[in-house]
Formats: sequence, structure tokens, C-alpha cells
Amino acid sequence: MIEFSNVTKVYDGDVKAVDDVSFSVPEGNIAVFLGPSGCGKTTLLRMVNRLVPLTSGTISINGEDTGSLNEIQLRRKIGYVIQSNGLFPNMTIEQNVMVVPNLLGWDKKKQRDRFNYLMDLVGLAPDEYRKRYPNELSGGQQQRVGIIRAMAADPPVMLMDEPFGALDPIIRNRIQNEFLQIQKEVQKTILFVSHDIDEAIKMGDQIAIFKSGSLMQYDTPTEILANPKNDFVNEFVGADRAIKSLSLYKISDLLEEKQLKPVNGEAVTKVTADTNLRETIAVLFTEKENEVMVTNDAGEPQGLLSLDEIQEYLQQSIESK
Amino acid sequence: MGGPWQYFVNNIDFVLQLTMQHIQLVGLAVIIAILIGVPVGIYLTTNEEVAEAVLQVAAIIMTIPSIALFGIMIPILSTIGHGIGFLPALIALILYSQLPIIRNTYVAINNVDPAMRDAAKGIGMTTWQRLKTVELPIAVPVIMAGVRTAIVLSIGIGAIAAFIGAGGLGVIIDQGISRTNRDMMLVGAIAVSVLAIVIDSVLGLLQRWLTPKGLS
Repeated sequence: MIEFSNVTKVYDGDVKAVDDVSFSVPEGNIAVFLGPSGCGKTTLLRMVNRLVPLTSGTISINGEDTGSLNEIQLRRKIGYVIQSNGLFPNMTIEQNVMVVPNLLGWDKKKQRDRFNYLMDLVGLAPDEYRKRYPNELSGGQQQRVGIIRAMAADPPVMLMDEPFGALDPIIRNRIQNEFLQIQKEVQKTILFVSHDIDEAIKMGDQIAIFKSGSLMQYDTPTEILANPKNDFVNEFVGADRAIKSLSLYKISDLLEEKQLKPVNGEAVTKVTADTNLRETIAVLFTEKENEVMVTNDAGEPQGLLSLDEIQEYLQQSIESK
Repeated sequence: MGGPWQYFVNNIDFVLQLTMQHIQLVGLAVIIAILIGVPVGIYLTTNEEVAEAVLQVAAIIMTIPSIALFGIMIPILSTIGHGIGFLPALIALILYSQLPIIRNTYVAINNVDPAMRDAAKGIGMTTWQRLKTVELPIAVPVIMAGVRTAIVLSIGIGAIAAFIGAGGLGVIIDQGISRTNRDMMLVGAIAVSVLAIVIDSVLGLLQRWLTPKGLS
């Protein structure tokens, strides 16, 4: 768990970059720091590994005050990924990934095994890339290497500063998905800076929204979309927040509140109950159907779902919360 | 062109001996200059105000005519019995080499991508580790360019050091002038040029070899 308590950063005596921020991120979660540029999100992130010193307040990781630790030791236990990937051009891919294990004095065998494991994790053939240099890789590949470099010594905590910001939308989407898949396996506690609300909704277990150094709202993505705390958050999430929230709900969530129409025997397109509503609507549109048949994991029909019911459910969820 | 060539062939041992002297003088001067200039250049990246001052001073030294510098050093070094000869020449060449070496080191380290420095820091490298494994290797090509400038410069100025008895290829030119022997002057001048070109080419290869593979 990472706990921020009354964290403040003041520059030049009066500019408050981060203003009395308190919240905590549970272990194994991704918390996205979201806000316009200059809102203090990156500063707050960099205070965690003490690249930026705190003016007042404390940040603790698993109960240990980061201020009480040696900053070099602290940083080696925290993975760090930046937007421009920060790979060292003078080192091979293997040297880059193994920078921290090397600093920690791992033996050759252990390093090699770890490198192979990590490269497989992001779908890059270890032997093909081992001796290559960063400038021989595409932007997407470089960013994958940047991510596994941060994971190399298996740190419990990772800081990611707009890690996918420099990638084109298609590659970004793919790497986001890959990363979520990896996260399911490795269960790191991750602080993730973004200025993109869609990315935040997709990646975050929690979202912290900042404005001029102050924390506006800290909640789950569903809660932020359904119930923005103030005008700033409301404006930031956008007028289309109902549509954005579509990808956060699955048919199974809807089933908890709604009874489906019984199946009447006509052949319609089938979707499983763990499909999210956004995809469900996409199916309805592309198949030009009025209804889809919802099935359980075993493929047994559960009932028919139409666009009207999805709309009703969304309106309810946004109003009720 | 029979004249200069004839002189060269007849006095090849003498020319080679002076060339070796020249290389020794310049080589030693530049090695010492690197040992001083690179650390100073690195230090300056941590202190903007001092950097400004030091680079100014180094630039001013560059503008002093070499003959004048030798002249200034005669009374100073006479106090330890080395008013003329190898030592003042060596000191002068070290001083002239400072600007290109310090400035290039300073610029090269300063120009390392801040993201790279940030990543190295955030990963948990100490200042020394960062310098050794990231900043210096990336800076090497530019530092080497400064060293090459310093060497070519020193080979030229080294020729003038013959006038204060430091030896080297300037001796042939000096003697050629006093005997109004055009062939000798030409041989001396050409030898200095050829030496500069050859050494610069060799250093070019060295620079390429020292440049990390991923940077090319």
C-alpha cells in the first residue's frame, strides 16, 4: 500500500505545485494520476521516489516512510518508466533491462533467466533482441523494453509517467491491453500519470484527479463517471461520460438490476455475460440487430438484451450514484 | 620540387628524430590536458556560474599569441631554472588545449538527453554510476572531437616552441629561416602538416572505435 499524507510541494517559497494531498493506493492496484498539464501529477509521482523532495507531509510504502530510507536504495526498489522510455542508447537491450539487477549484484545466470522471462512476457524474442541497441527498435518495442526494465528487479511498486504518451493510438491501445494482461499476473502497485481520461478509465483501479496541485477527487472510474464531485471533474470527464462508462460495465452488472426478456426461439447473435456494454452495443450496430442473446459461460441462453435496456441501465447508474 | 625532396631524403634521420620529439611534446601535453580538462568539464556541468567564468578564461588564454606566452613564461620559469626548453613549451600546449577539451566535455555532458539522466537517477544510480555508465559513454564522441582539435592545434603551436629550444619540427623551419634556406622551411612546414593530418586521421579511427555502438 502506498499512502500519501498531507503531501505538499512548494517551489520558490510560494508556488504550490502539490497542495496538501492525502490518499492511499491499495496493494496490487493501478492508481492513475489525472489532470491537465501543470496540475502537479508528475511532481507528485516524482516525490514517491524522491526525485523531487517533499516540502511537507509523508509518503509511505507498506508502512515505511520513504523519507527515512536511503534514496538510492529506495529507487532501486521502485520501478520507473517515463514517456520517452529513457533507454540508454549506449547499452544493448539486455544491458538496459538488467541495469538494476546489475546494480544489485545479481549473478549472470539469474540475470539471463530474468531477461528471458521478461522479454517473453512482452512478446519479444529474447535471443533476437539481446545484443541489439535501442535505436534498432520501433517506438512500441522500445516502450515495452522500458516497461520490463522497470520490472527487472521485481519491485513491488512501479511509477509510470505517461508511459504510452508518445505512441500512436493503435500501438498505444495494444500495449495498454498487454500491460493490463501482465498486471493481472504480476500484481504490482502502480502509480500511473496520464492526461487522457480514456486511458485513465481503462487502466485505473482508482483515478486521482488533480487541479493546480489539489486533489479534486479520488475514486474508482465508475464512481468518477457516475458521480463527479465538482464542476471541474465534471468538465474534465466530459459531457460524454455516460458513453465513456460503457466499457466499465459488463452485461453481468446489468443483470444484477434487470430482468432480461425470455428467449423466444429466434436466432440472434450471442454474447457472453462478461462482455462489456460498449462491445455489446458495437455488436448490436454491426449486426443490425435489435437484440442480442446473452449466454452464460457454458453457452446456455440467459435472455435477450436490447439497446433500450442498456440505455435505461446507464441512466440509472449515473443518476443513482 | 627537387629541392625540398632532396633535402628530406638527405636528412631523413634528422627529420624523423625531430618528428619524434614533436610527437612526444604534443602527446604528453594533450594527455595531461585531458587529465585536467575532462574532469574540469564534468565539474562545470554542476555549476553554471563557475562554468561561465572558466570557459571565459580558457578562451582568453587561446587568444594570447604563442610567442607572447613563451615570453611571459621565461622569467617565471627561470626561477626554477627552466626558462626555456621543454617545460615552458609543455605548459603552453597544455594551456592552449584546455579550451577545446573543457568546452567539448562540458557541452557533451550538458547535452545528454535530460530524460536519460532522469531515467538513470530514477532507477537508483549514484552520481558516479550515472557518469560512468551513461553520461560519459554518450558524451565520448563530442569529447573526442575536442581532443582532436586540441591535438591539431598543439601540433601547429608546437612548431613555434622550437624558438625557445623545445625541439621538434619547428627546428627545421627555424634553421631554414636563419639560413634563408627555402627547401628546409618547406620540409619543416610540410612535415608539420603531414603529422597533423596523419594524427588526426588516426584519432578519427579511435573516436569511431570509442563511440558506443548504439549511438552510431
